[in-house]
Amino acid sequence: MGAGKGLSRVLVPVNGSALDDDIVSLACEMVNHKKGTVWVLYVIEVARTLPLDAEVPIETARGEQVLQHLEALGKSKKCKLEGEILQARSAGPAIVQEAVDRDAELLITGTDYQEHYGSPTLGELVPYLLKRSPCRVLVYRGAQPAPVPASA
Amino acid sequence: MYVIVIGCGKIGYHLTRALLASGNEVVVIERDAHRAETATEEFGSIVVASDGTEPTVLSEAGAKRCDVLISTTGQDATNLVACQVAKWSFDVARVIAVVTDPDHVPLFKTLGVDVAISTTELILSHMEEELTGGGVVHLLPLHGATATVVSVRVPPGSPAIGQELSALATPPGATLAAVIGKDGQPRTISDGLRLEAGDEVLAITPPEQEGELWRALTGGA
Repeated sequence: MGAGKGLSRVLVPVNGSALDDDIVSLACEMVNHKKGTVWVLYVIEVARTLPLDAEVPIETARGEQVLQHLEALGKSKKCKLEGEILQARSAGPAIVQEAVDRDAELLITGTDYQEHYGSPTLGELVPYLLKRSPCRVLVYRGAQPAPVPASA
Repeated sequence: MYVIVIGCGKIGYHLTRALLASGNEVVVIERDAHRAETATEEFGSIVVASDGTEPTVLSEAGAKRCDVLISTTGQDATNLVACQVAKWSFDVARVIAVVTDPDHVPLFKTLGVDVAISTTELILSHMEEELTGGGVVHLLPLHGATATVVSVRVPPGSPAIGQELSALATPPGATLAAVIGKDGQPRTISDGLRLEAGDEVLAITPPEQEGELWRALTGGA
Protein backbone atom coordinates (compact mmCIF):
# COMPACT_ATOMS: atom_id res chain seq x y z
CA MET A 1 0.00 0.00 0.00
CA GLY A 2 1.48 3.37 -0.97
CA ALA A 3 1.46 6.29 1.41
CA GLY A 4 0.06 8.40 -1.43
CA LYS A 5 -3.33 6.69 -1.00
CA GLY A 6 -3.31 7.54 2.67
CA LEU A 7 -2.61 5.52 5.76
CA SER A 8 -4.78 4.34 8.61
CA ARG A 9 -2.32 3.73 11.44
CA VAL A 10 0.71 5.93 12.01
CA LEU A 11 2.86 5.90 15.13
CA VAL A 12 4.78 9.01 16.08
CA PRO A 13 7.23 8.88 18.97
CA VAL A 14 7.82 12.34 20.43
CA ASN A 15 10.10 13.78 23.06
CA GLY A 16 9.10 17.39 23.43
CA SER A 17 11.54 18.66 20.81
CA ALA A 18 10.89 21.38 18.27
CA LEU A 19 10.34 18.72 15.60
CA ASP A 20 7.28 17.23 17.30
CA ASP A 21 4.84 19.67 15.69
CA ASP A 22 6.25 18.99 12.23
CA ILE A 23 6.08 15.20 12.42
CA VAL A 24 2.66 15.11 14.03
CA SER A 25 1.31 17.52 11.39
CA LEU A 26 2.80 15.33 8.68
CA ALA A 27 1.26 12.22 10.22
CA CYS A 28 -2.14 13.93 10.43
CA GLU A 29 -2.01 14.81 6.75
CA MET A 30 -1.16 11.21 5.92
CA VAL A 31 -4.07 9.66 7.82
CA ASN A 32 -6.73 12.26 7.09
CA HIS A 33 -7.53 10.82 3.66
CA LYS A 34 -8.61 7.56 5.22
CA LYS A 35 -9.76 9.06 8.51
CA GLY A 36 -7.10 6.97 10.19
CA THR A 37 -5.43 7.35 13.58
CA VAL A 38 -2.18 8.89 14.68
CA TRP A 39 -0.76 7.46 17.88
CA VAL A 40 1.61 9.82 19.61
CA LEU A 41 3.95 8.08 22.02
CA TYR A 42 5.98 9.78 24.72
CA VAL A 43 8.48 7.39 26.32
CA ILE A 44 9.92 8.10 29.74
CA GLU A 45 13.22 6.27 30.10
CA VAL A 46 13.45 5.12 33.72
CA ALA A 47 16.97 4.59 35.07
CA ARG A 48 17.69 1.14 36.47
CA THR A 49 18.30 2.72 39.85
CA LEU A 50 14.49 2.90 40.05
CA PRO A 51 11.85 0.21 39.53
CA LEU A 52 10.28 0.42 36.09
CA ASP A 53 6.92 1.42 37.55
CA ALA A 54 8.40 4.05 39.87
CA GLU A 55 6.54 7.33 40.06
CA VAL A 56 8.42 9.99 38.12
CA PRO A 57 6.16 13.01 38.53
CA ILE A 58 8.37 15.60 36.85
CA GLU A 59 8.87 13.52 33.70
CA THR A 60 5.20 12.48 33.69
CA ALA A 61 4.04 16.08 33.95
CA ARG A 62 6.37 17.03 31.11
CA GLY A 63 5.01 14.17 28.98
CA GLU A 64 1.42 15.17 29.70
CA GLN A 65 2.19 18.74 28.73
CA VAL A 66 3.74 17.61 25.43
CA LEU A 67 0.80 15.33 24.64
CA GLN A 68 -1.79 17.98 25.51
CA HIS A 69 -0.14 20.36 23.09
CA LEU A 70 0.02 17.75 20.32
CA GLU A 71 -3.56 16.62 20.90
CA ALA A 72 -4.64 20.24 20.43
CA LEU A 73 -2.59 20.34 17.25
CA GLY A 74 -4.28 17.17 15.99
CA LYS A 75 -7.69 18.60 16.79
CA SER A 76 -6.91 21.75 14.82
CA LYS A 77 -6.07 19.51 11.85
CA LYS A 78 -9.29 17.50 12.32
CA CYS A 79 -7.23 14.40 12.88
CA LYS A 80 -7.97 11.45 15.16
CA LEU A 81 -4.99 11.49 17.48
CA GLU A 82 -4.36 9.42 20.59
CA GLY A 83 -1.54 10.19 23.01
CA GLU A 84 0.15 7.75 25.35
CA ILE A 85 2.92 7.93 27.93
CA LEU A 86 5.02 4.82 28.48
CA GLN A 87 7.71 4.08 31.05
CA ALA A 88 10.54 1.92 29.74
CA ARG A 89 14.22 1.28 30.30
CA SER A 90 15.00 2.23 26.76
CA ALA A 91 12.91 4.10 24.19
CA GLY A 92 13.81 1.98 21.15
CA PRO A 93 12.34 -1.36 22.22
CA ALA A 94 9.27 0.39 23.71
CA ILE A 95 8.53 2.16 20.42
CA VAL A 96 9.02 -1.01 18.39
CA GLN A 97 6.75 -2.95 20.73
CA GLU A 98 4.11 -0.25 20.40
CA ALA A 99 4.39 -0.44 16.61
CA VAL A 100 3.83 -4.19 16.83
CA ASP A 101 0.92 -3.88 19.27
CA ARG A 102 -0.77 -1.17 17.20
CA ASP A 103 -0.04 -2.90 13.90
CA ALA A 104 1.28 0.45 12.70
CA GLU A 105 1.71 0.98 8.98
CA LEU A 106 4.25 3.76 9.37
CA LEU A 107 6.47 5.13 12.09
CA ILE A 108 7.62 8.74 11.80
CA THR A 109 10.57 9.85 13.88
CA GLY A 110 12.31 13.18 14.00
CA THR A 111 16.01 13.84 14.30
CA ASP A 112 18.27 16.84 14.34
CA TYR A 113 21.43 16.90 12.26
CA GLN A 114 24.27 15.86 14.54
CA GLU A 115 27.94 15.28 14.03
CA HIS A 116 30.25 13.01 15.96
CA TYR A 117 33.96 13.61 15.45
CA GLY A 118 33.11 15.52 12.29
CA SER A 119 30.92 12.80 10.75
CA PRO A 120 27.13 12.88 10.53
CA THR A 121 25.41 10.60 13.03
CA LEU A 122 21.83 9.62 13.74
CA GLY A 123 22.50 8.78 17.37
CA GLU A 124 21.24 5.50 18.82
CA LEU A 125 17.46 5.63 18.57
CA VAL A 126 16.97 6.21 14.84
CA PRO A 127 19.28 3.35 13.71
CA TYR A 128 17.55 1.08 16.24
CA LEU A 129 14.13 1.93 14.80
CA LEU A 130 15.40 1.53 11.23
CA LYS A 131 16.72 -1.90 12.12
CA ARG A 132 13.91 -3.19 14.33
CA SER A 133 10.68 -1.55 13.28
CA PRO A 134 8.16 -4.01 11.83
CA CYS A 135 6.68 -1.28 9.62
CA ARG A 136 7.99 1.41 7.33
CA VAL A 137 9.99 4.21 8.99
CA LEU A 138 10.14 7.81 7.94
CA VAL A 139 13.00 9.83 9.39
CA TYR A 140 12.34 13.57 9.41
CA ARG A 141 15.25 15.92 9.79
CA GLY A 142 14.54 19.48 10.90
CA ALA A 143 15.65 22.53 8.98
CA GLN A 144 19.26 23.57 9.45
CA PRO A 145 19.83 26.83 11.27
CA ALA A 146 20.98 29.59 8.97
CA PRO A 147 24.78 29.54 8.62
CA VAL A 148 26.62 32.17 10.58
CA PRO A 149 28.28 34.56 8.10
CA ALA A 150 32.06 34.41 8.26
CA SER A 151 33.52 37.53 9.79
CA ALA A 152 35.72 39.63 7.58
CA MET B 1 12.87 -9.82 43.25
CA TYR B 2 15.47 -7.70 41.47
CA VAL B 3 18.47 -9.75 40.35
CA ILE B 4 21.68 -8.62 38.68
CA VAL B 5 23.46 -11.35 36.74
CA ILE B 6 27.10 -10.78 35.83
CA GLY B 7 28.20 -12.68 32.74
CA CYS B 8 26.00 -14.03 29.97
CA GLY B 9 27.85 -17.21 29.11
CA LYS B 10 26.12 -20.57 29.27
CA ILE B 11 25.34 -20.36 32.99
CA GLY B 12 24.36 -16.69 32.93
CA TYR B 13 22.18 -17.13 29.85
CA HIS B 14 20.14 -20.04 31.18
CA LEU B 15 19.97 -18.50 34.64
CA THR B 16 18.61 -15.27 33.16
CA ARG B 17 15.98 -17.16 31.18
CA ALA B 18 14.89 -19.05 34.28
CA LEU B 19 14.79 -15.93 36.45
CA LEU B 20 12.72 -14.05 33.87
CA ALA B 21 10.39 -17.00 33.44
CA SER B 22 9.70 -17.00 37.16
CA GLY B 23 8.73 -13.33 37.06
CA ASN B 24 11.84 -11.66 38.44
CA GLU B 25 13.22 -8.32 37.35
CA VAL B 26 16.65 -9.06 35.88
CA VAL B 27 19.58 -7.13 34.47
CA VAL B 28 22.47 -8.97 32.81
CA ILE B 29 25.87 -7.31 32.56
CA GLU B 30 28.15 -8.80 29.90
CA ARG B 31 31.58 -7.41 29.06
CA ASP B 32 31.99 -9.10 25.69
CA ALA B 33 30.32 -6.88 23.08
CA HIS B 34 29.46 -9.69 20.67
CA ARG B 35 27.99 -11.88 23.40
CA ALA B 36 26.05 -8.90 24.79
CA GLU B 37 24.60 -8.21 21.35
CA THR B 38 23.50 -11.83 20.98
CA ALA B 39 21.90 -11.70 24.42
CA THR B 40 20.16 -8.43 23.54
CA GLU B 41 18.55 -10.16 20.55
CA GLU B 42 16.73 -12.42 22.98
CA PHE B 43 16.44 -10.47 26.21
CA GLY B 44 16.13 -6.88 24.92
CA SER B 45 17.05 -3.89 27.00
CA ILE B 46 17.82 -5.82 30.17
CA VAL B 47 21.31 -6.52 28.79
CA VAL B 48 24.06 -4.04 29.63
CA ALA B 49 27.23 -4.35 27.56
CA SER B 50 29.80 -3.42 30.15
CA ASP B 51 32.11 -4.57 32.93
CA GLY B 52 30.19 -5.84 35.96
CA THR B 53 33.12 -5.28 38.29
CA GLU B 54 33.00 -1.52 37.72
CA PRO B 55 31.24 0.36 40.53
CA THR B 56 29.82 2.95 38.12
CA VAL B 57 28.31 0.20 35.97
CA LEU B 58 26.80 -1.53 38.98
CA SER B 59 25.47 1.78 40.24
CA GLU B 60 23.72 2.49 36.93
CA ALA B 61 22.37 -1.05 36.92
CA GLY B 62 20.61 -0.25 40.18
CA ALA B 63 22.78 -2.33 42.52
CA LYS B 64 21.57 -0.28 45.49
CA ARG B 65 18.05 -1.64 45.14
CA CYS B 66 18.97 -5.13 44.00
CA ASP B 67 18.08 -8.14 46.15
CA VAL B 68 20.59 -10.62 44.75
CA LEU B 69 23.69 -10.35 42.59
CA ILE B 70 24.91 -13.52 40.91
CA SER B 71 28.30 -13.52 39.22
CA THR B 72 28.59 -16.32 36.69
CA THR B 73 31.67 -15.54 34.61
CA GLY B 74 34.28 -18.21 34.00
CA GLN B 75 36.86 -16.19 35.93
CA ASP B 76 36.93 -16.70 39.70
CA ALA B 77 38.75 -13.39 40.20
CA THR B 78 36.08 -11.49 38.26
CA ASN B 79 33.29 -13.17 40.20
CA LEU B 80 34.98 -12.37 43.50
CA VAL B 81 35.51 -8.71 42.64
CA ALA B 82 31.94 -8.29 41.34
CA CYS B 83 30.53 -9.81 44.52
CA GLN B 84 32.78 -7.75 46.77
CA VAL B 85 31.95 -4.47 45.05
CA ALA B 86 28.24 -5.33 45.23
CA LYS B 87 28.45 -6.33 48.88
CA TRP B 88 30.61 -3.57 50.28
CA SER B 89 29.86 -0.62 47.99
CA PHE B 90 26.15 -1.18 47.41
CA ASP B 91 25.11 -3.24 50.40
CA VAL B 92 23.51 -5.93 48.25
CA ALA B 93 21.70 -8.31 50.60
CA ARG B 94 22.87 -11.52 48.97
CA VAL B 95 25.76 -12.13 46.59
CA ILE B 96 26.33 -15.46 44.90
CA ALA B 97 29.37 -16.50 42.90
CA VAL B 98 30.12 -19.37 40.61
CA VAL B 99 33.56 -20.73 41.46
CA THR B 100 35.60 -22.84 39.08
CA ASP B 101 38.46 -23.83 41.37
CA PRO B 102 37.06 -25.57 44.49
CA ASP B 103 40.12 -24.43 46.48
CA HIS B 104 38.80 -20.88 46.15
CA VAL B 105 35.51 -21.58 47.94
CA PRO B 106 36.81 -20.92 51.49
CA LEU B 107 38.42 -17.68 50.30
CA PHE B 108 35.14 -16.49 48.77
CA LYS B 109 33.31 -17.22 52.00
CA THR B 110 35.95 -15.50 54.11
CA LEU B 111 35.67 -12.43 51.92
CA GLY B 112 31.91 -12.14 52.40
CA VAL B 113 30.43 -13.96 49.41
CA ASP B 114 27.19 -15.42 50.76
CA VAL B 115 27.08 -18.45 48.51
CA ALA B 116 30.02 -19.79 46.51
CA ILE B 117 28.92 -22.51 44.12
CA SER B 118 31.76 -24.68 42.93
CA THR B 119 30.78 -26.20 39.61
CA THR B 120 33.62 -28.70 39.96
CA GLU B 121 32.38 -29.83 43.38
CA LEU B 122 28.85 -30.18 42.10
CA ILE B 123 29.97 -32.43 39.26
CA LEU B 124 32.23 -34.41 41.58
CA SER B 125 29.49 -34.99 44.12
CA HIS B 126 27.13 -36.26 41.44
CA MET B 127 29.86 -38.47 40.01
CA GLU B 128 30.54 -39.87 43.48
CA GLU B 129 26.91 -40.72 43.88
CA GLU B 130 26.66 -42.36 40.49
CA LEU B 131 29.93 -44.27 40.77
CA THR B 132 29.70 -45.44 44.37
CA GLY B 133 25.95 -46.04 44.38
CA GLY B 134 25.28 -43.65 47.20
CA GLY B 135 27.23 -41.41 49.49
CA VAL B 136 26.24 -38.11 50.96
CA VAL B 137 25.61 -35.80 48.02
CA HIS B 138 26.03 -32.10 48.77
CA LEU B 139 23.23 -30.21 47.11
CA LEU B 140 23.43 -26.72 48.55
CA PRO B 141 25.59 -25.00 51.17
CA LEU B 142 23.45 -22.77 53.38
CA HIS B 143 24.29 -19.27 54.56
CA GLY B 144 27.47 -19.17 56.66
CA ALA B 145 28.18 -22.84 55.88
CA THR B 146 26.83 -23.94 59.26
CA ALA B 147 24.61 -26.47 57.51
CA THR B 148 24.29 -28.05 54.10
CA VAL B 149 21.41 -29.53 52.17
CA VAL B 150 22.42 -33.11 51.39
CA SER B 151 20.90 -36.13 49.77
CA VAL B 152 21.32 -39.78 50.84
CA ARG B 153 19.88 -42.73 48.92
CA VAL B 154 18.62 -45.63 51.05
CA PRO B 155 20.35 -48.76 49.67
CA PRO B 156 18.80 -52.26 49.57
CA GLY B 157 19.56 -54.03 52.83
CA SER B 158 19.70 -50.87 54.88
CA PRO B 159 18.40 -51.33 58.44
CA ALA B 160 16.45 -48.09 57.93
CA ILE B 161 14.09 -49.81 55.46
CA GLY B 162 10.64 -50.29 56.93
CA GLN B 163 11.43 -48.14 59.92
CA GLU B 164 9.43 -45.08 60.84
CA LEU B 165 11.38 -41.84 60.49
CA SER B 166 10.89 -41.08 64.19
CA ALA B 167 12.64 -44.36 65.04
CA LEU B 168 15.77 -43.61 63.04
CA ALA B 169 18.94 -42.75 64.97
CA THR B 170 19.60 -39.57 63.02
CA PRO B 171 22.01 -37.08 64.60
CA PRO B 172 20.43 -34.31 66.70
CA GLY B 173 21.58 -31.49 64.40
CA ALA B 174 20.15 -33.06 61.24
CA THR B 175 16.67 -32.29 59.93
CA LEU B 176 15.01 -34.56 57.41
CA ALA B 177 13.39 -32.28 54.84
CA ALA B 178 11.92 -34.54 52.19
CA VAL B 179 11.80 -38.09 50.89
CA ILE B 180 11.74 -38.74 47.15
CA GLY B 181 10.50 -42.20 46.27
CA LYS B 182 12.05 -44.50 43.65
CA ASP B 183 9.37 -43.31 41.25
CA GLY B 184 10.60 -39.75 41.64
CA GLN B 185 7.51 -38.64 43.56
CA PRO B 186 8.03 -36.70 46.80
CA ARG B 187 6.49 -38.27 49.88
CA THR B 188 5.15 -36.18 52.72
CA ILE B 189 7.45 -36.14 55.74
CA SER B 190 5.82 -37.42 58.91
CA ASP B 191 7.02 -39.36 61.93
CA GLY B 192 5.10 -42.40 60.72
CA LEU B 193 6.59 -42.41 57.22
CA ARG B 194 8.47 -45.65 56.56
CA LEU B 195 11.50 -45.68 54.29
CA GLU B 196 11.83 -47.99 51.32
CA ALA B 197 14.88 -49.18 49.42
CA GLY B 198 15.81 -46.63 46.76
CA ASP B 199 14.25 -43.67 48.58
CA GLU B 200 16.27 -40.50 48.38
CA VAL B 201 16.30 -38.60 51.66
CA LEU B 202 16.96 -34.86 51.58
CA ALA B 203 18.27 -33.46 54.84
CA ILE B 204 19.78 -30.31 56.31
CA THR B 205 22.77 -31.15 58.43
CA PRO B 206 25.96 -29.65 59.86
CA PRO B 207 29.01 -31.04 58.01
CA GLU B 208 30.35 -32.83 61.11
CA GLN B 209 27.17 -34.90 61.43
CA GLU B 210 27.00 -36.05 57.81
CA GLY B 211 28.72 -39.38 58.60
CA GLU B 212 26.29 -40.18 61.41
CA LEU B 213 23.32 -39.29 59.19
CA TRP B 214 24.66 -41.48 56.39
CA ARG B 215 25.10 -44.45 58.78
CA ALA B 216 21.57 -44.00 60.14
CA LEU B 217 20.09 -44.15 56.65
CA THR B 218 22.33 -46.74 55.04
CA GLY B 219 23.55 -48.83 57.95
CA GLY B 220 27.09 -47.89 56.97
CA ALA B 221 27.10 -50.28 54.05
